Amino acid sequence: MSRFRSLGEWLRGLVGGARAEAELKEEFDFHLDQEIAANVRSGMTPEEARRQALLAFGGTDWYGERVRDERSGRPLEDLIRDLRMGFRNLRKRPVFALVGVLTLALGVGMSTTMFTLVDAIILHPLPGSNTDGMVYLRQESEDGRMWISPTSQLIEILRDHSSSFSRIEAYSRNPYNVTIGGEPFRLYGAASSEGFFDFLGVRPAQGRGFLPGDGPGGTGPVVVLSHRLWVERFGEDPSVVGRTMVIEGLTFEVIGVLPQSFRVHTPVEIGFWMLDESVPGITPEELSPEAAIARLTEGVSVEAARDELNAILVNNPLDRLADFEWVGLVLTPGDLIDSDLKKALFILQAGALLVLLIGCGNLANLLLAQGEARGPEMAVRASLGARRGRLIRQLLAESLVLGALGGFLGLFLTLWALDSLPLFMPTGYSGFSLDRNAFLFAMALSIGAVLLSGILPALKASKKDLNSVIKGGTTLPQGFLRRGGVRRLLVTSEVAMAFVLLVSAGLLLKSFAGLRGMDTGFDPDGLLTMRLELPEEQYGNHETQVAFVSQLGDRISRGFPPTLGTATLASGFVDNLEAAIGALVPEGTSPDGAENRVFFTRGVEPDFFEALGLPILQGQAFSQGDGLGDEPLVIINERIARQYFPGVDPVGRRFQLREETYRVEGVSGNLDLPDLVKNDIGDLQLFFPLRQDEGSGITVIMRVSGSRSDAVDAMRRLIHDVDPALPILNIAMVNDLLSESLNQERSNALLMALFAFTALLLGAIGIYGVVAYSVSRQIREIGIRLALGASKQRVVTKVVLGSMKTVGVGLVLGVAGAVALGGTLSGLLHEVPSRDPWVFLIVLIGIAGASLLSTWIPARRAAGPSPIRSLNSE
Amino acid sequence: MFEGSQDLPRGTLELMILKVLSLDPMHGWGIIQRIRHLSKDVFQVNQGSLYPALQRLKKKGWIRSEWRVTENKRRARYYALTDSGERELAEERGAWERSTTAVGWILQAES
Repeated sequence: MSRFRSLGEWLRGLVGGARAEAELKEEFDFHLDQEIAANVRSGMTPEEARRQALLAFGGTDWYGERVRDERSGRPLEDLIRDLRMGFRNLRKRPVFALVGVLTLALGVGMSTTMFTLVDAIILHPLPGSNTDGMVYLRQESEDGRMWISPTSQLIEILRDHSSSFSRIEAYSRNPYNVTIGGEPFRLYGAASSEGFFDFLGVRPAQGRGFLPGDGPGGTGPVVVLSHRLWVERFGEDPSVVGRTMVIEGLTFEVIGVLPQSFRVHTPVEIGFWMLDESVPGITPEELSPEAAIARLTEGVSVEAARDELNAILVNNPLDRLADFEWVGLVLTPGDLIDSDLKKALFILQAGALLVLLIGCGNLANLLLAQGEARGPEMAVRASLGARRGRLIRQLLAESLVLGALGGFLGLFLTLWALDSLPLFMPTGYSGFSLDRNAFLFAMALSIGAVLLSGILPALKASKKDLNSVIKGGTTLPQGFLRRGGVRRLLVTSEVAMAFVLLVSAGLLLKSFAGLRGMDTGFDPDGLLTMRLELPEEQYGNHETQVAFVSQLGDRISRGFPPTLGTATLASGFVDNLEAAIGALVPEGTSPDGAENRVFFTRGVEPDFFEALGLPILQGQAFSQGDGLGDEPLVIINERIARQYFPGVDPVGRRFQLREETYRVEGVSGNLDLPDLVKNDIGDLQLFFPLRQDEGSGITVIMRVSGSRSDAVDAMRRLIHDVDPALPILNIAMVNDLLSESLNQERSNALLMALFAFTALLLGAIGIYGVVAYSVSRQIREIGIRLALGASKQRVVTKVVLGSMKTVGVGLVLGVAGAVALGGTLSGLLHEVPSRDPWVFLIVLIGIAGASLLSTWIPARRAAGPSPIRSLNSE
Repeated sequence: MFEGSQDLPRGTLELMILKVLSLDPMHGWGIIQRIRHLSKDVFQVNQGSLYPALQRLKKKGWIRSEWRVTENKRRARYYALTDSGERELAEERGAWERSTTAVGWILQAES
């Protein structure tokens, strides 16, 4: 505090304010003394002389105000004086100040946190500073539900043939086994060309980026760390450059650390970057890019580039593209972000701003009450010559001090919130920092908020004239909330906004709970998966792959101890899913008009269904012998059976899909994963015998009944019996994977719930404040009523009913608002209508209950123990 | 504003202050005494009018102020005419005389 004060004094000294005040006083004192001396000379006693002089002078305060008014030629000085006065006035009312500052800080903190996310994810989705004309290149399926990044091959073709782009850069992302300081773990790393960071305009925070001559031919393997990895694994070592880390058995030298703000859009966080040529055990051509980023040639529009790209694709049919019927697309950076995430962020941002608005309502209420309470002070000052403009300025200055304090506290809240964001947000969306934009946003919000909430109370308070205040005493408002039209309006809108927020939160929570508790068709408890990727050199063709699968399968069925659980193999289960797009044509039906659909495919071992608890409804599971060279078999899920074989037994029938004929061996239950269901894909599922299914990735699925680590160790031994060098990747519990796949829904629901409950709390405080205030203004009326024999209950009921009418209007508006805005949420909801009556009802009851409580407490206090005391308070 | 004489035209007080200060730099109390004396006790300038008026004149740049020590060793703020104040006084004085003469003609008119 003392520091603040001395700073104020220093500032005042700077503009001469303090000196001017002192000189004004000295001038008046001199004048008075001269007058007294003159009076004494004319024969008065000293006392009489002084009295007469004071009478003639008439009190220095009034002149003071007038002279100050005339002098106000220095706006800075005025502002500082007003601010200081505002600060002093706030210190006199610590509770008011605290409530005001906290309210603002909450609103500003929440809004700024959301703004930081919106700014980083939506407004600046590309890393680096130099993002003009930059686009992501991506190919989407016709319905837009699925997309892939262009292959290295396609990128080469585009570099050769496209004139729309001045430069195309790509990076690939993969998990790697790394060792740092002797400790091994698994981590995602990325590989790019040497000029990638320069292209993006990103400069490492420490050390350097890649230079020509880096890599195998020159300096040897070098690596650039992410900020996070530097913090978590290198202990923020300031001399980290030159230290080493081991990636897949190869030692890399650290040459730099990326800035904290650097982020590329991946679902997982990238820990380090290396050059394409340095990636151990794989050639640059074999890397599959995660994303290609290109800069448009100057003057070329996104649409023109898209057309050119599609033309190139038509002229250069690539295997994978023709096969999957992808369409070439150029996307602006904004398009890249998952549209659900974008929508969620905007909605959450709006939610946070609503909380701030509700806070503003409370603040305006507080300031109004303050204005009433300070009516006499204002009236006296006005009658002493202070102009209205000055009074308004001063009242606003007080609000400004509140706003500044609230804004700064809000910024601290934001810092804290951004730090604890990983608790709420999906992984990969961490490491946000408060930047200049967010700071400016917070300041603009705070100032806007205090002006919004301060201007009306200031206008009202400064209008007081002495007469009405003296005549009116403190009983001005008559009737509950009757005179406080503004206050009633504030309460009404607070209730309406809180309603909209709570309904949004309720809908998101219900949708999330529905997905979380949905029937997956299998029993996930105790299920654990690990991933094997068969290296290209050893397992380059279908035969070697099948040989591996057969060996491992046999070993598992003979050697995996039943006390530890059961195990099976598949090409993919919860993740690593494959999809085939095509028309399914049952034998004997016409292929005309058969629609292209997306089928999710898994290669599975015979015991897959039993291990998962996924029922075989018709027919049978595969048998051990179904392998390479036999007739292609398939097990279809119940939905395919229902849609493609209505009224017939599909078992034994054949169908054609993408030029291959399969015989239906059986029908299984539906295997539904929440993250596919929420996107309305993956409803059609095909299972093939794993040994007929070509692919280099294998997922080991175990249902663990004993110790988890024993089971993992036993499985690791079995795998290494077959191939001692094969790395085991991504060991995870299926329940965790399922839970993680709903991270976005969880964070949407949690954040919205947080905002909504803050809104409810602020709204309740607001109602409490208004009712308590109006009750205190009519304590005399209540006292008289009680003295005349009204029962306490009647008085309380009257107060409560009067206030609840206002709340009721707010609820009606809230329902209307929620119904009108319902559509905006619909994309984020799964199987919950945006006008879900149950959610509306519960929120309605909740708000009504909270409001009742916050009117009942002050109302009861009004009809307190003794009517006499109420009367005495006048 | 003035005791004894209410309805003087606007700017009269300022004109009188400028005139008084053109004789000698003077502090606030002295200005009041000087005006009373020179007007033969007709004008009693109120402090409440004087100091804001001084502030106005200062803002217009017609007078300046400085702290000086009085004969009995007190510090006091003295006001003095600036060059532009001098010009303003001459101008205002001309205007005042023209208008009082004109008013005089009207009042002396006989029908």
